[in-house]
Amino acid sequence: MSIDRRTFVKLSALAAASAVAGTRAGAATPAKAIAEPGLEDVTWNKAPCRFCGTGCHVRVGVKDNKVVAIQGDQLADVNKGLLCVKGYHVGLALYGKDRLTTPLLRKNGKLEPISWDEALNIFAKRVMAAPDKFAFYGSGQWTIPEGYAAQKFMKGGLSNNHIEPNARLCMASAVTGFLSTYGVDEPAGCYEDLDKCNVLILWGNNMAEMHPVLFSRVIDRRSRGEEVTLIDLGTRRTRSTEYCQHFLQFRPHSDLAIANGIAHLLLKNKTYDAKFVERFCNFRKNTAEPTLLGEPMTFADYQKELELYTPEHVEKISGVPAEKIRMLGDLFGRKDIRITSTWCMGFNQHSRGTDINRLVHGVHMLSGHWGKPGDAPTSLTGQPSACGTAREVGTMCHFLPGGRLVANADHRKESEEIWHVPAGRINAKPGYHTVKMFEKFCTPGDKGGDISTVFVQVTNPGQTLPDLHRLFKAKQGLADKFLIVSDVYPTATTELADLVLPAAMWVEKNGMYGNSERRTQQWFKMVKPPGDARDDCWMTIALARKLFELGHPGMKDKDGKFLFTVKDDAGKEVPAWEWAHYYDVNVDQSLFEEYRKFSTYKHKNLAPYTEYVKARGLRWPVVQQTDGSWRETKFRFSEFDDPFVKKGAEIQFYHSVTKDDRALIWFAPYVKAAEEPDAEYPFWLCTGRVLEHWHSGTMTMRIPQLSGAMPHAYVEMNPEDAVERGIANGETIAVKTRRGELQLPVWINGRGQPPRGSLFVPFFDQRLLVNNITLGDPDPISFQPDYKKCAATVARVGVARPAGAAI
Amino acid sequence: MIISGLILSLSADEALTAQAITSVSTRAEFMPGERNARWLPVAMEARDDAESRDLHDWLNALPGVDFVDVVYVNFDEDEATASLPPEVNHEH
Repeated sequence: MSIDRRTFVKLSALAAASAVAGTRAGAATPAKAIAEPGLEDVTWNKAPCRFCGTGCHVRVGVKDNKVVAIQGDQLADVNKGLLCVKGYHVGLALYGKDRLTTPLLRKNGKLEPISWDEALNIFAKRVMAAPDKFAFYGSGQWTIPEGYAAQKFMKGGLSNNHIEPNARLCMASAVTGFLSTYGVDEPAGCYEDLDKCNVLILWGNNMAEMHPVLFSRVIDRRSRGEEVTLIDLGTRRTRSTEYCQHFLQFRPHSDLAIANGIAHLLLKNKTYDAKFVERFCNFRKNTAEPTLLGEPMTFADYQKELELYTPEHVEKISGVPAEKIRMLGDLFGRKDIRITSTWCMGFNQHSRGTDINRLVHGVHMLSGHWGKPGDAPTSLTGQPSACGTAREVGTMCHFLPGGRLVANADHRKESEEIWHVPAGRINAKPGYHTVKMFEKFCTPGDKGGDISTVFVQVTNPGQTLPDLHRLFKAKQGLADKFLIVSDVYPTATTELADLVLPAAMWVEKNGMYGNSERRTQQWFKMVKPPGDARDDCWMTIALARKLFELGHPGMKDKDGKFLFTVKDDAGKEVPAWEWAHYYDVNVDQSLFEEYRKFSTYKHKNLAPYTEYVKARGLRWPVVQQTDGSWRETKFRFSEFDDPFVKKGAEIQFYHSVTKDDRALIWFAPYVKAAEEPDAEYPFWLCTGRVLEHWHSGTMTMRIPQLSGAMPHAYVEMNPEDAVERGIANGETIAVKTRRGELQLPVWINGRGQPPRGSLFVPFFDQRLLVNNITLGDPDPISFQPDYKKCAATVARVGVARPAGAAI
Repeated sequence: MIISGLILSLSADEALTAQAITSVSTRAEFMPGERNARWLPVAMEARDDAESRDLHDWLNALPGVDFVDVVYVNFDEDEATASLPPEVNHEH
């Protein structure tokens, strides 16, 4: 019997769905994909999704050098065959009609095509002329080899630490929270905590929209008849709220008081875990000027500081009823349940982001809800390799690979030895963090602006920096500044670029990512990039080679050889800086194997590259077993799973700040936000993401299915506030802050429902840039800006949209 | 033409669930598979993106269906590529 192609595709789709349904109904994860969509002319391969930090794996169907189908990967632990609306359209992100396909140089105000050789010559001469005034800005979308090459080029080549990832805007407070609590970055638990917890607390975390596959994993447990209590602690109702048994609406910034209120009750009711605290914890508080490590305090001092945070006092600050604070205190006081807390940008984009991260780690340790599957404080990341690249590889201005610091002489020495560069090559002074980098870039050179050239890869600061007029747009017209941008599409950043480099993306190149649960993932190039678009990693190596040829001493190792020497299996050098030869060898593998040497210092051990080829990711530390196999670690610091914990220790924080295998429980007081509503600006303004769009929308806005579903930005407003001001749903209004004004349509009783006195605007829309008016007050320790709180007002300006218009 | 593989999470109410399965089975756009406990696999065929969204919304709203997940999408013959909409700058 023959069937037509349409029927065949339908049967393939049904087979894929049936396989996942079987897994959900209780069948074990299949040893091999049981629903291989069998289109003869389509080849399939694995890759992590290009979008968020969840790290779902997809199976990518390719025909005639084009991605034609996407399937959730049933072999992947993370998503077990499921995908979210962005994930199943990820293939279309490659095919927007305005892909950048050739280098472009701004001439007389207009971007005009030039050759790659011209582009690299211009770039290299610019860096050569003032290497110390050059800055490199990337992201958590850099692949691991890309980020590794970038930071090696800067720190090990140019002796310049002005390199940052956009993770500074995204995860920096999570990093400082982990470092100051455990002495080492990244979560101890993993997604299996979501399968085991009895209570899941979403701390300002709209998981249903931002990490929908993880949320589905929890909701699915209910479909199986399991009881899971979901608590949404939020500043507005979201899609996540609909699934939660409890919604505790709190006043922005008062999460600090709520966490303290829980700790207060644990102590007052004597329901804290005294054994856990005595064996595994020390106490700490901030110094007068907040620092990463603060100063010690006694348990008695800690108790005294918390006396103030009675449920009634917390209610007064937060608006959460005292009985609900007691409910949280009682839950954490129970030993018969397991509690997982999750958070994301609500904590991190917070001008006390480090403190709120610390406090929630502390509540979990104080209560003993720590270190068992289902008992975990878990930070979720927003980008596919915020952990794997931005944090682990050391792309921040003060880091070296594997958790090392540029300010530490031993760490510099170790890094110089691995890179085989002369002693003293690495600069001991941290570079500029992101906000400072762009402040310096947007300030004329004769007025202290000592960054003159910035290279941006795989990110869009022209849309995502806060207070854009000051931190980005002020560059315009400054003759001594030069902006180079590598991207796949024109963006808000390329609008001000002097040189634009067309980039390959996702499965157009080899890559590796590291997700939220310490899982390192690998994929191979599957299709060719369009036109003259090329890999970001190649750009860095090709630039380094140009500088080598121009005689820059930093581009040579101790033996005078090129910094990025790549050899084939026979040991013969391959000119990887020539595009024609870049794929003669696997450059990713070469860079990864070098990077892997850095990974043992903080026990973030990585397996050889070839192990990741076989797996759907492995969670570090990955340790070789006596039989030669490689074993991943799901639960760090817990003896039952972590091979580095001493026998009998039960829990061992082996990178303890206090060098005694104990973690730190911090006290941090509630303080007011930097800018709060007042008579002139009576609303809180919060910004964030939506389900359909990923970050600044440069990819998802080019996918018709996604841009059609969510075509433009809007402002969410409470209906009573709208009625009071005579504002109708869909009407264009002006949202004003002390930094400017933005006009956009209002959405009342929409997907998100802010309380009275509160507004929400998503940041995905390049045409409606909310970051023109955000404050971005930074956390004093992580330097991460707060995008979630500033004071705003609204005013009617427009005519109501016709009935039936979008929104 | 957009063809997707979906999984419907069915509710605990068997009467509603039976109605939902019947409703899905009677529409030509859907090809249901074999129910597995509370999960029903379905292949969905839509003329275009708008119809695909409408069908998805219809399934979501169907009594007896708690959740709709997508696991497979084929856009082999899809012309689905677009540039950003024309520039509109409302910022002052």
